[in-house]
Parts: sequence; structure tokens; C-alpha cells
Amino acid sequence: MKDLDFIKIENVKKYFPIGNDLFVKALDGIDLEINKGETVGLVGESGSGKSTLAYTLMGMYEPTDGKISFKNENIGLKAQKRDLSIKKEMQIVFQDPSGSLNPRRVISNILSRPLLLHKIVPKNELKAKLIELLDSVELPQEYLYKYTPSIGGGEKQLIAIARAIAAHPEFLILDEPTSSLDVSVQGKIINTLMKLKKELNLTYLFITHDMSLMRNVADRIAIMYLGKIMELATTREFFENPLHPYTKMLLSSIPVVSAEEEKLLPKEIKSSGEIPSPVNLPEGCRFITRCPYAKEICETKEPELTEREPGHWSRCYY
Amino acid sequence: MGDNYLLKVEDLTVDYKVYGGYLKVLDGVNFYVKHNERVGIIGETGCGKTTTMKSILRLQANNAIFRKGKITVGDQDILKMNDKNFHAFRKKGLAMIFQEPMIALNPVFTIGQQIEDVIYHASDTKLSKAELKQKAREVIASVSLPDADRILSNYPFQLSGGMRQRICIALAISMAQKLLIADEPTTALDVTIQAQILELIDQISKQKKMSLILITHSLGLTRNTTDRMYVMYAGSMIESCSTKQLYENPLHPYTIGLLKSIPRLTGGEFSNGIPGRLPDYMNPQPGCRFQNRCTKVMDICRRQKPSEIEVEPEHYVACFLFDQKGDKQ
Repeated sequence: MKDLDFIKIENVKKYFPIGNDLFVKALDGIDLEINKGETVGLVGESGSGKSTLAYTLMGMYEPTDGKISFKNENIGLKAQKRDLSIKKEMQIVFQDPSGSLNPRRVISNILSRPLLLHKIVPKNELKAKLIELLDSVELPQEYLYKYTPSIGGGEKQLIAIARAIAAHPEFLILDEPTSSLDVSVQGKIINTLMKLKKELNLTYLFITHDMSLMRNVADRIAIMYLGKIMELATTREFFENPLHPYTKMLLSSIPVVSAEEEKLLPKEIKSSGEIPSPVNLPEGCRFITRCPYAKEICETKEPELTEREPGHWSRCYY
Repeated sequence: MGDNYLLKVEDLTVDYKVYGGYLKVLDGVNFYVKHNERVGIIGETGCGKTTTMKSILRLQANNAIFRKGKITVGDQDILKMNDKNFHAFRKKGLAMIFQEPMIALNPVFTIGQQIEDVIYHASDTKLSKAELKQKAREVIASVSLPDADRILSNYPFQLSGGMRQRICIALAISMAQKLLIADEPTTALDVTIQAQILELIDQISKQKKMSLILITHSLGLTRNTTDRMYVMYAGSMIESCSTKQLYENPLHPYTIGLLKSIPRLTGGEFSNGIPGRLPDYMNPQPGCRFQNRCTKVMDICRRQKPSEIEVEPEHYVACFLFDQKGDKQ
């Protein structure tokens, strides 16, 4: 049974002023619904606004315009103004664990902060809970007394995950959790995340630029480009029948390791050009500078995100 | 047969002096690159890929200590050359594209100044200012960047990551003729830009008939750009074969583990990866350096370092699993 209004993002905009009445339009009208229990993959190049969306959801930024609601409650606010009970339900895992974990705090200290803040366990049960947390990410309990610089990158990221799930959240944002790690440890992180999702009934917003990874973990995929969603579809639809030219460009750029995978990539469009500056957006369709199919109408009027097939949305005239 | 090799590295052993001892990073690296051949080297962060390449260019850090080994380029032993001769030799023959285009370029000089500098120092004849500028324009055009004059007058921070990496490629190829070393050239870039940069490197190396060493930790990148591959682990090459063989029939447990841990577009499960970490370089255990992460570890692996064994034609693996004699000892 799905609660339809788990997270609802409506026309959210986030502009950063840079002086002279100019703005970096990091988010330029995002509409997205996330249902309870699903994994939504958010893919896009750097500069497309993925992380800004994550930070806005978490309350690190206040949206310039638009509405964000969590279980029908408005959360379009800075985190300081949010209810503690809502903050408890939403957690984030950052890209670089070396930056997101304090190197001068022992791991038990890092992990107990959310437990004490949200009063998850009484003080006398704290230690048992910490061991349980480490156990859930398959780390031995000696790690409680280590400092993060003395452990490997993959293990650090596991600690960051343990911290994120400590307060029993319902919703977790994963902001490129494996892109700073080697492939040999990536599998461990992803499999742990998927196991936790099942056990704790979590909902994920999974930000990444690795499409092969998305194919394996996401239920639905949203493609972002310059602050707007360009295509949104179920993972299966997305890879079998990509509609937007930008999606095809992304798919054709994936470095694959076998001939079977190569057959799945679209061939008709090749990567060209670069993402333009989010200050001076092109008029009309924002992808026009790189699109090989651009027609006259694309220059004047921006296409809407339309439902082309049930559950498959694309922002393109063709 | 000796003439066929452009670069040959034999038993290269390099330590780093650090507080409290020596990090034994390179532990007998052997590899070769033929003329006009494109070679890929893959391995985890910290396995010694960059140290090897820097040794070839003699750009090691001050605390690097060369223990033994031999590096020959063409018929010259470059470790025996004096600095002056080597500099003259290097600027004509070898070039490297570094990992971080943001750091590889000097932020306080314009792109034009930096490219002209390289051309000025690498050319035999003294070029006039106008000639330098003309050459710089040609170099910019050769990496498919439009509007050369504007770019030449820009500072690195005014360009995007992809453009900066193109400039680094331009700098590298502006004079070098023989060997291009690309050290993780796309790690800091987006997939779309990555595809463009790889295609550019591919195209340039073919056009100029240069040999290429492509270093990366992403297995997907080397599949279409290289002829032959080396897998590096903790300071030595543990597997070498043609690119096709590597993807279709990997033999070393490490290579197999790496390939298994990559999520596939075809879906399906992928493994937990390879548990554990690179060994401690300060006090490496005797024997195979992969022993603590290996699922098929045997007694002999803990005593003796495996040597390269030719399992099928041109497919070498350093692992006792394939050494029938080793089992019986």
C-alpha cells in the first residue's frame, strides 16, 4: 500500500544571487513525487542542480519559490525552522565521507549524536544500540573506538550510512555515495544500502551520474538538466525506450565492459557540447545548444514535461 | 625484436621515504609498450600507477628512492641519462596528461602564455612571437576547440573542466611525438564529457601515430580505446593480455573480482566487491601482495611472490593458481 503524498516537490525554484541582478538558476521549476518505499534515481551532469535539490529537500537551502511537502506537511523551510520530528525522518549521505565525518571525533561519538538528539534510546542502552548500528553495516564493534582517518574510504562511507540510519528515518537522500570510492568497494556500499532499504522500509532519492548503477538499484529515474527535469520514467522504460535526446546522449556515453551491454546503448546520438551556464539560460528549450534534432519551435518556446506513455514523462516536442 | 619496443620497464622498484621508514610502493614493475600501440593500465587508487608513470618521465617526488630496475625508451636507458640530455629527449618524445586539469594548469598565466611557453622551449629553432601564436592556434584547433583567439587570452578558471582537459591534451601533444601517457584523464569529468575526451585522445593518438598509455580505475574506459591491458595491484603488474582477453577471460582473482563488482546495464546482481584494502606498504608481508583479499589463497602465496606465467598465448598472470610446478613444491 503506497502513501501517494510521501514527498511532493511542486515547481521548486532555487536562485542564487550573484550581483548585478543576475541569478544562478540552480533549480528552475522542479516537479517530482517520491512514493513511500521506492528508490528514485536522479541523474545529470555536474551543474545540473542535483545536489541543490538534495540540499533544498534537507533544508540546507530555502527554496526561492514552490512547495515541498513531506506527508502533506510543508517543509519548504530552512532546517532550523523545521520540526525536530520531521528532521528525524529525513537524512542524507554525502558524497565524500572524509569530508562529512569529523576526523577528530571517535566513531562512537559520531554515531551517538543522532541517537541522543532524537532520543532514540535511553543513555544506558546507548552502547548496545551503537553496536547494533555497526552490525547493520557489517562492521565489527572495535570500530566504535577508531577515528575515521584510520579506516578506509569504503568503511568511512559505511559509518556515514550508519549515522544516517541511526535515527530510524523514513527517507534517505544518497548524494553520489560511491563516486569517490574505488569500484572494488562500491559493490559493498550499494549492497548494504539495498539490504537496509528492505529491512528498514526506507525510501531513497539516489543521486548519481553512473547510469549502469541506476539500472541496478532504481525503480524510477529522473534526468535533470540545468535545473529542470527532462525525463522521468520507470527504470525499465527508461533504458528500453529513452525519449529525450539528452537521455540518449547520456546513455550513449556510458563506458561499458561487455558486448551485450554495448548493444543496449543508443547509437544515433553522440555526446557533443557542454552544459551551458545556469546564469544565462538559452531561450526556448534549455537543451537546444547540444540537441541535434533542434527545430524552430525549440528556439522560442520551452517544451513542457508531458506524459508520453503511462508513467513516462519527457520534456521534448518530439 | 628489440626495435619493436618503444618503452620497456623492467623490474622497476621504487620506495618512498617517509617518517618512520620506507613505503615499498613499486615492487618490480615489468611492462612494455610497442610502437603505435595503445596500452591500458588499470588498478585501484594507491596501487602505484601514477608512481610508475612519473618514474618514466623522471618526475618523482623528492622522497622517492629508486632501488633497481631499468627503463628504456627506444634504445636509450633513460635512468642513466643526465638531466640535460633527458630533458632534451623527453620534450621531443614523451608527454603526460594529468588527472586534474584544474591543478595541472597554472592559474596565473593565460592559456596562450602556457602553450607558447611549451612550444618555445620544445622547438629547435627560435620562433618569432607571431609564429608562436600561430602554432598555439593550430594546437588549440587540433583538440577541436572553437574560437582559439579567445581561449588563448583566457585564464584557466574561465574555462570549463572539459575545456581545460582539452588544453592539457593540447599542451601534451604540441611537441611530443612518440608516447602519450594519459593518467586518469577523465576522472574529474562528467560521463558525456568523458566520452568526448576519450574520443579525442583516441583520434589524436591514431592521427599522430603515437603510442598511448591510458591509466584508469574504470574498466569501462579502456575497452574501446586500447589494444592491450595491464592490471596493476600493489606495485606490480599481475595480469597482462589483449584487451579482448581481459574482458572475456580474466584469470587473476583480482581481475575477476573487479569485473564482477561493476554494475551492468544488463542488470543482474553484482558482487560485494573485493573485501579488504591494499596492503601496508611499510611492512608488506612476504609472498603475494594480494593474499589477504584473495578468496583462493594457498600456502605458497604467503611464502613466495608469484612470477608471471604465460597461461595462453600473450596472456600473462602472476598467480600460483596457474603455476602447476608451484603447487607441488
